[in-house]
Amino acid sequence: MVNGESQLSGGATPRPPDHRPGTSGDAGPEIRDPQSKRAVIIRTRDLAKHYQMGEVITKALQGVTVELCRGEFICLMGPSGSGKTTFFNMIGGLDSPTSGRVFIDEVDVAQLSAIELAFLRCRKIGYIFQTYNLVQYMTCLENVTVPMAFAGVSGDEARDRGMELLELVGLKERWFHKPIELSGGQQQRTAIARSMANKPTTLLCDEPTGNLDLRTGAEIHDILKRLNTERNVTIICVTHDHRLIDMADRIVWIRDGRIERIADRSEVMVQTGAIEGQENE
Amino acid sequence: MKTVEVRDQVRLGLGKCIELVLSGVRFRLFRATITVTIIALAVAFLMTMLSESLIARDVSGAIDEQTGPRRRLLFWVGRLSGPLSEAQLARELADLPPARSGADDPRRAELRAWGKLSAAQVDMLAGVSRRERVYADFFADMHEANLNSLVGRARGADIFRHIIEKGASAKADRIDAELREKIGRQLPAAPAGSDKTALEAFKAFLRDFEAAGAFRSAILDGNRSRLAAVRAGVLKGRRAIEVLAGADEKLREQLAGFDFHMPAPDLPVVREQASLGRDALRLEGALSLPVLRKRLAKEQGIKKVSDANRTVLLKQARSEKGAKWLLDEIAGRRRKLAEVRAAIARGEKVKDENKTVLIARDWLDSFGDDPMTVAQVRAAASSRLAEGHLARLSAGLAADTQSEGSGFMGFSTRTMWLMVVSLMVCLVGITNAMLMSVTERFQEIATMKCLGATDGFIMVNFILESTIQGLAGGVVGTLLGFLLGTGRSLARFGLVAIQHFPAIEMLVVAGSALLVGVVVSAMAAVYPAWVAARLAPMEAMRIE
Repeated sequence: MVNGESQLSGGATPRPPDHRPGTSGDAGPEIRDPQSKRAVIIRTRDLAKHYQMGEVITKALQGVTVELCRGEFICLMGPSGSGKTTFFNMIGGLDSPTSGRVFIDEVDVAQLSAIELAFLRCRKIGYIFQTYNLVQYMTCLENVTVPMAFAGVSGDEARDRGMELLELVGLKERWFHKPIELSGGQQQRTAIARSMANKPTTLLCDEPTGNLDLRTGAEIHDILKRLNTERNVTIICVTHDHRLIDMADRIVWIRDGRIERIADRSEVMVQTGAIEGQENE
Repeated sequence: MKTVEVRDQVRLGLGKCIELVLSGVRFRLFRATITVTIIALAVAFLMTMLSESLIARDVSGAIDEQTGPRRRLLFWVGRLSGPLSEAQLARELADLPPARSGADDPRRAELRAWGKLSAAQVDMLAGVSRRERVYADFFADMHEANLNSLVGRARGADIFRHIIEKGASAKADRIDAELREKIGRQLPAAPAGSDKTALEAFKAFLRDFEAAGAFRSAILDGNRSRLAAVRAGVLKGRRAIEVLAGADEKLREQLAGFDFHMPAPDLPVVREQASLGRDALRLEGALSLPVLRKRLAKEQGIKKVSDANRTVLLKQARSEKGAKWLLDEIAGRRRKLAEVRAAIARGEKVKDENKTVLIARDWLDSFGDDPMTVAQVRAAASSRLAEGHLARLSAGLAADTQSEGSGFMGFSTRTMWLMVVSLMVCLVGITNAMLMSVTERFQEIATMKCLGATDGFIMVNFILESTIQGLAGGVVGTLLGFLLGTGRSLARFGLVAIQHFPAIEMLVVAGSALLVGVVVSAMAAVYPAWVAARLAPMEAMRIE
């Protein structure tokens, strides 16, 4: 076992046949999944985003074209300032592009009104944040049922579903606790339950294990994997956690506002390290 | 390309919204308390002013009502004691109510009879007097220096005579010119419905004023001669108040015969007030008895005899015991007087201290001729004291500068400005507090949006939060203001303040103060709510 080190081997692995190295000014590689004929759930075309701050124009994204399939487990990686946040916002319906298109379930996000966007976020997409973002003055159950309230689900049904979801993440006995009474891992699990409230087809995760230690992180990984395999939920994670990357189907590297590389999990070697002398996590 | 069908995107019911807001407020109780306090203070200020003003109005009405009878008496005493003056006549003419066909009101009848004028002529005079009042106020408003340069030393109605003397029309032109050029003012505009210019109207008035002069003199002369006749034929050397104290139908008819018309309902009122007044006057004469004063002081426990004044005497005479004591004292003095007189008649030498009783012998004699009962004494004393009390209340009201204004509900412009400014400060304070709240809750708001909250929901959420706080603050403030206002009024007017309590109006006023509080809170939250609603959900994400 390597001491305290994780390795990600990049350049020495074989690349898929139709990958063209990105030249400056080009759009990133466009990948079609040759193996699985899965339906494409999120599609972007020449996605670009510029921020104007006074005189300076920051080009966060410069022409990203990509297709993400239903039921996939995708990890987004990249250094800070690479545009992965911006890309994440685009495909999550949280921001609109300056140019280019984003299609979520074949719906052009840029054409949607504010109410339709809210609908989208409510029903189609679930979000999990690094800082959990639970409502502090509500109990777990109430937190989980908030999206259901927005979806117009009646009180009783909402409660039942909420308890079901909490059971799914293993928090059934603590439904009445407030977030402040829960540990980080439990809060994140509540957040996951919340994100599944309206049975979305996609889960967007922003560093879900970023604030958690390795053991609690493992619980999160389990849940996410289960959701992905059992319920066919597309999971798109921005993460540095190698064990999440280990579970991914595809990995997307973003650098300087372009997709540097998209690779299948099989093409990438991920080593998740452990510390010698400690119980195996 | 598909489109999103927005089905079932529910607008959260108001109840659910309120629930959410309330649990949020409980969480942020301290911040909420600050906002509630701000509103409460502003509303309390508003409510204090309003309730004080309401109570003052009622008290004023009550005072008017209670002083009504005495004013009737004073009117008649004045009428029968001396002739009408120019100024009084002008006032009466100006205050004449519009003529009613059929019934001729008594004032009108008198004026017509005295001046031997027709109804139309009296109406004309009334019109002139009303205009005279307008111009008189206009000139009275000016600086001394300006008046001197315009009309020399003439003041009041003499101004018009002066102008007429100096050539009416031409002088009016010069005055108008000087007003515009040097003083920068204009003559009052012509009355509504007339198409004359201000100057033309003024000249017309001067002409009418001159013409009216003869008629007015006629009235004054008529009044004077009638009064002389009344004094000879009815009063017969007695004081008016004496005569009125025994007024009856016969007196009324007699007066009518001399063209002094007392309306029938006034008769009993005037009679009662007159007899009370007369008794009180007689009673006060007791103070002239020096020994009585000393003993009064002792009885009332006052150290300095000179402090035993009218009010003290009246207070003494008000009670059963006190009245009896007073009558006994007076009887005692009379006996003393009789003794002293007898002694003088016998040629004995009288001690100096006993001679003092002789000073008041006229009073004692007259008192003996027409003694007063205990009941009379008490009634007279009470009525006099009540009068004094009412007079003080009136003075208290008159000194109240804040209700003397021309604005809403009689508030002065200054008070109104104060109230508006306080509400504006309140509004700004709440907007500030809410903006702070929004900033603190950026992440929470963004998360809500990720979960499906519409912009509208966020906005409603914040405005609702502010409205609820406004309601709470408004209730507290209204209550506080009401208590303060009533307390202050009680301090100023005594129990009269709550005797005629304007309950319904107070409720209306309280309701509007509350409404103001709620509306201001809601309005204050609009900008912060809008900022919150526009927030992009991206803020919730923090990917480094």
